Amino acid sequence: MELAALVLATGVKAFFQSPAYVIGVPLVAVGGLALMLALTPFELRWPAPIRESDLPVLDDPPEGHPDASEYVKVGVFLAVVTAVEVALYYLDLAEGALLGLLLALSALKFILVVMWFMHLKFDNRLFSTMFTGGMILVLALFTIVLATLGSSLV
Amino acid sequence: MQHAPTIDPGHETSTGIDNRKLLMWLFLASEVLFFGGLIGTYLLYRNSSVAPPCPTDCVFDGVTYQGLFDIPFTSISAFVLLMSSVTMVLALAAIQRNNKRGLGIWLLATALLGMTFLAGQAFEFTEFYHEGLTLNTNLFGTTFFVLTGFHGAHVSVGVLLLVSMFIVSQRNDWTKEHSLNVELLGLYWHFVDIVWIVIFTLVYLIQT
Amino acid sequence: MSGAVIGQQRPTIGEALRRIRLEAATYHGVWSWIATVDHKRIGLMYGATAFVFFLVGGVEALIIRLQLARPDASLVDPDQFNRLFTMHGTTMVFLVVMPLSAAFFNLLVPLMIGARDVAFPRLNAFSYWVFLTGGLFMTASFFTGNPAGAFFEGHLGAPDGGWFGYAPLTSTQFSQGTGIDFWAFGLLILGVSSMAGGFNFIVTIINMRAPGMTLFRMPVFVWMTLATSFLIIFAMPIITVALFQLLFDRLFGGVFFSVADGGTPLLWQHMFWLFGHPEVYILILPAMGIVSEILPTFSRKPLFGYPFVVFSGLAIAFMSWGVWAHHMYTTGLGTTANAAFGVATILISVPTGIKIFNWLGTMWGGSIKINTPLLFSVGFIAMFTIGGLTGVMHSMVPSDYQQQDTYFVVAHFHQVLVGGALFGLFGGIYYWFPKFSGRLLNEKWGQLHFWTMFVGFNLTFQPMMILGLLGMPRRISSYSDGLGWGFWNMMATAGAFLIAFSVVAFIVNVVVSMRSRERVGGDPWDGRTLEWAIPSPPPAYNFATIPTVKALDDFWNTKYVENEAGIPVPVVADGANGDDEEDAGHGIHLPSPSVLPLIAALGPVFIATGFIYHGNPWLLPLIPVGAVTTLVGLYGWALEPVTE
Repeated sequence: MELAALVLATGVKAFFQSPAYVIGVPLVAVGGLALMLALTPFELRWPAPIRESDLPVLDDPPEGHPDASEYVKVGVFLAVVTAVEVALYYLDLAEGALLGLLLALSALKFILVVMWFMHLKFDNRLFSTMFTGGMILVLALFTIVLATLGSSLV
Repeated sequence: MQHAPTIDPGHETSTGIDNRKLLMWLFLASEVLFFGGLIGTYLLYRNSSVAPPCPTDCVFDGVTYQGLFDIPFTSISAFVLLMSSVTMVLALAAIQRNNKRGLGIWLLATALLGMTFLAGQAFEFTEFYHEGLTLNTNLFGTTFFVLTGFHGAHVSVGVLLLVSMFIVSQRNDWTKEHSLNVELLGLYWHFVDIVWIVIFTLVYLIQT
Repeated sequence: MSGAVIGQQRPTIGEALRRIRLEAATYHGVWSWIATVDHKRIGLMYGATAFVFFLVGGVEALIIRLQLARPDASLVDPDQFNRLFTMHGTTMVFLVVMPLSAAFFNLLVPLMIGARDVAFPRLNAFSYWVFLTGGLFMTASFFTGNPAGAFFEGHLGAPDGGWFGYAPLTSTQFSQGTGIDFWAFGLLILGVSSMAGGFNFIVTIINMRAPGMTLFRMPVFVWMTLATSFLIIFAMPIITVALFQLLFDRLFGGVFFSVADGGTPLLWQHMFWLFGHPEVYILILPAMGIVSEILPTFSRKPLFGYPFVVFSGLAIAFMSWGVWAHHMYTTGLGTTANAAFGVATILISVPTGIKIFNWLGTMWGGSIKINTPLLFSVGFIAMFTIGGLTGVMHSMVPSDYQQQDTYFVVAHFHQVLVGGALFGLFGGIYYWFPKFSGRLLNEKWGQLHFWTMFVGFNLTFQPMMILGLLGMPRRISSYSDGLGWGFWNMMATAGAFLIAFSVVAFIVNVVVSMRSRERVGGDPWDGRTLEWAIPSPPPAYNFATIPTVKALDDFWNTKYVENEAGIPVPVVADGANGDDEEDAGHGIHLPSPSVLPLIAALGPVFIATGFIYHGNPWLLPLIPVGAVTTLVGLYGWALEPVTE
């Protein structure tokens, strides 16, 4: 409607002089079309009937995966570590000691999640190689960047 | 999600690793660089702001400004996100044992915890805004909002995927054959969680 | 599950649209290309699109050269000049060399490793469509006017900050209008395309190899694709962060690069070159891979020192992470940093040198057949060596202090990107054209193309070396008479037009060759790698039966055995093209075509336009529209069955 007002008030010329409209309006049109086109397959597939699985619930996790109770244990431990971190923050520790402890505890949490929840402890070595590769790369790069700019990571 | 978008599903891969899992790990490895860049920028500019407010108490022109960070509040947020990782992995454990109902419950729980975290972030952002911190107030504002904002965006995408997976899994007959879908979403979710572990320590707890 | 029970009522809009969609799903004519997920078709589309952008970037270069041909010229004003060289650099790097390499990845990698397609065919289509929309978006900035913001008001609105967009030149203070916004969003969108491609090819190469195709039986080109893909997925996120920071600064008043607020523009330089230097190797490694395939074929010898070529390629990729600050010697990093980066830069020339000697060793004592692909490859070696050596000159800190921002640098990187990457890519086009069209490119036109390009190239860029040493700075729109630069500039301009002529010769060659009736078989060059074992052009399913690989250069070994003197003699019963059974192609499941990748790829452009014009209430809704489009495309994609 604003568009109509613009065209009415200033003529078609103003419309074509604004890149915002020349690029934007066709995009709106194409977008609407694409949306409708894309929505059509949902008609086919969304209302699938709810069906209860007749497969029995298994007792054991698949090979290479820990049991649910293991996960819960790790989770409880993670909660405890977080509590310790926050407690440390309020304790009057020397700055260096606090820094070291906090970094160590957060690294511990990080490693626990990656090893257990993301299964790197049990999974293919290729995954851990790629992930640690990325970690080492980014740590190295930004340590150098910050050093040359007179700063440091922590 | 229902169908592996890989060609020739019957074909064994050269390494025996599933294509999609490899893709997800590559994506996460690449995301490490993305968040590394954002966190690196925050650390570079820490304590470089030339105007208040600051994360912790600071003095400008003889006036002391109170710090913005509310550690107990953020600790709870961090805790919520951490626990959502536990529920996520329990969802995986459920579907691996053909327990579709369990999968649904744990997926929903994870999504709810994720939404709680997002609500906490929204509250925190509003609070900071009222105390005078915006994207263009100072370096702290810019770097903080962009870093945590991008993390929040990742959590939002995760919540969206969790809810979608809940719907799809409950409307269809998901069994342990489908557990890879849950595992892949789990990988993403845990990754978002460990990013927050790093942010919580480096940005909130360590103040040098 | 089908939606058959709709009743005899008039169809709803949704139903009608679905019918149209299903109609389209039979995919005739243009639709068959739009919905394709076939790696060969996607590769051809990549190549054709990149070539069009090459012509655009070439015209930009010619205008620049016309402006600089004579002193005190005024063909374009300084502002327009800035926009032209910015777009020339951006176009050639992101819209020409990278996608041309991607075209070769797409066309060749599955064929070379004996796969029916890439690991994620639809993700592959998505990569292409995102590249296309991103490229058009970036180029559209020419017409957006500047700084008044009116649509094409007679001068260009393209970005003006140079291809590396140094802060604070890109800040709203120094670059008004929307050029830089288009640039930053364009690069973000193109980054999505490159990353999706990178993931796809890593998974393909790691996971989709034919039985027996161990890593060290892979052709060097596949190795280089793997290295390039890893560089892409690790380098792109860094520039993504930097571009987001730039956009937050420009659109929402962030202060990342604002000195007044305590920020440092050097952060941008670091972030850009952390990406930018690996990017240099993203551009050159694929060309190195192509040359490593062409030389053995036309020397009729195996690649000399295959493991050395592979490992030196990987070493280059690895070391490319440790040299970014050699672009920043003059920013005052300090002597320690300068020295360290200088040493790292000198070291990276070692694996590069190893490659050059191995290529020479491949040709040494071979029965060399001189034709266009080989000429381009040899041209590559010669020109790339000069480019590499001038690179070593830049690595010396004191020497670089003198060369920084002069035409010597311009000459150096054109030497490696045109004389290196582009020569390699053209060689690849001549080499693999018969595989995908079933026709050879005309040899006479090819030779004309090569020799005019070779002479034109040297005529253009060697004078720039001299100009640089004479002290002519980069990025100046004119220079006064009496500086002694006129002669060399005129020579460079003449050379540039000779290059343009050579490109015309190439186009004529393609047209002439496509009209020719002559067809070639599957193996016109007597090739060594698997792609030559199948017919030209390859059937949709590539291999009727997936080959089992027993050695490096396996296809060659099925054709030849060595006699006592070590000379290859043909195997008597040639079974090269014998695997075309009657019912080939039956029982092979190929992924079904889909338009959803295209729909998902449309979204980012909308979001970007919405953000750029976010002050305009009429255009702000483009952001949710784009987001929903992409989301819907992706959801449809995830829920759509792969084979129907």
